[in-house]
Amino acid sequence: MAVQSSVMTPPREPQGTGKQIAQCERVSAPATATSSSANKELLRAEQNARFERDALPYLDALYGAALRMTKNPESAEDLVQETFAKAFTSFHQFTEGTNLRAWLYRILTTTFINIYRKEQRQPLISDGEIEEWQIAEAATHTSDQGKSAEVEALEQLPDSDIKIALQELPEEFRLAVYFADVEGFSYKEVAEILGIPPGTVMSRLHRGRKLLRESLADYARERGFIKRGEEK
Amino acid sequence: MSCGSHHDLPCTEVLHAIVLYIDHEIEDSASVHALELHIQECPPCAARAAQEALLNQQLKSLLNRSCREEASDQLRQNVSAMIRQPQFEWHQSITYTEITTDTFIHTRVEIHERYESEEE
Repeated sequence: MAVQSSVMTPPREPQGTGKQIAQCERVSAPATATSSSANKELLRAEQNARFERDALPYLDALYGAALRMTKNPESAEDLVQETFAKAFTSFHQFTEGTNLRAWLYRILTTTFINIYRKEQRQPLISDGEIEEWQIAEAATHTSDQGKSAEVEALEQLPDSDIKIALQELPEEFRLAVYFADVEGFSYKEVAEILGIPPGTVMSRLHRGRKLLRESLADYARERGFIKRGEEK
Repeated sequence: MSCGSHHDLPCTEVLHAIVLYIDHEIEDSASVHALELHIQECPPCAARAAQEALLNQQLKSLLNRSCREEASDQLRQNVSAMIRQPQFEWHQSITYTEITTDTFIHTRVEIHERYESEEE
């Protein structure tokens, strides 16, 4: 909170053998009861009501995203609480009519990065490599026959396998896939939330989906849902 | 690579753009139209587009089936309470005290921080 006033008050009686030399008292805002402050009060009450009405419904969704980030319920709850506290205190900066959902996810992501991931990890694969991979992957007509069997097999996977597979995905891919495919954000919105260029979103998303699908197929194979003869 | 027949838009370009098309990320309507025209004329590209759409759709539905979470009542209460509490202000007071003894002089600094409601 910003410090707007700073007043020096006369020293109190010295305590014990010590002699008090100065005392400084600071408050975040002068609390004078003028009509303008009453107006402010009204405005703030209105803003709080708007926050409760518009932002609170995203609690479950933000918690779901937080869980994908922190990987454990306790940290996810802390993260969501911190996110709402930040969003609440900076709600006056939010422009009404713009994308509140994306704004909240952006706060969630930056809070996560600041608190839970102080050191910026190097991405596992440089974006240049992804581009080359994509070109090699995309420019063929080959459609493997094993795919339809695989689709059926993946349907049988229990939710726990899918959660674990997603959790095992490196963070940069996991978040891109989660925001695009679970939250339904556009590439542009994901780019804003993660603070990366849209082109990077595209490569992380495509690569992430492929990695996730491969991992799910491995789980299906382990459970015997994909038999040897059905493999490509 | 080509499917053997001639198209205004080459197969390689279509294949590169298929995922973007499926994700509704191509904003230019002329490009979307050219792509759709190609897919209608070219069975291999159509098959690839259909397969890609199926795989993406499946992945989305699997994730949505398993990754939806519900916040605990405790979390909901905490967040609601934070919004409803009266606006608090941050107060800080710092006291500097100089302590003189026979052998040394030192300064004690006390910092008190508290949140206080405006209404009080």
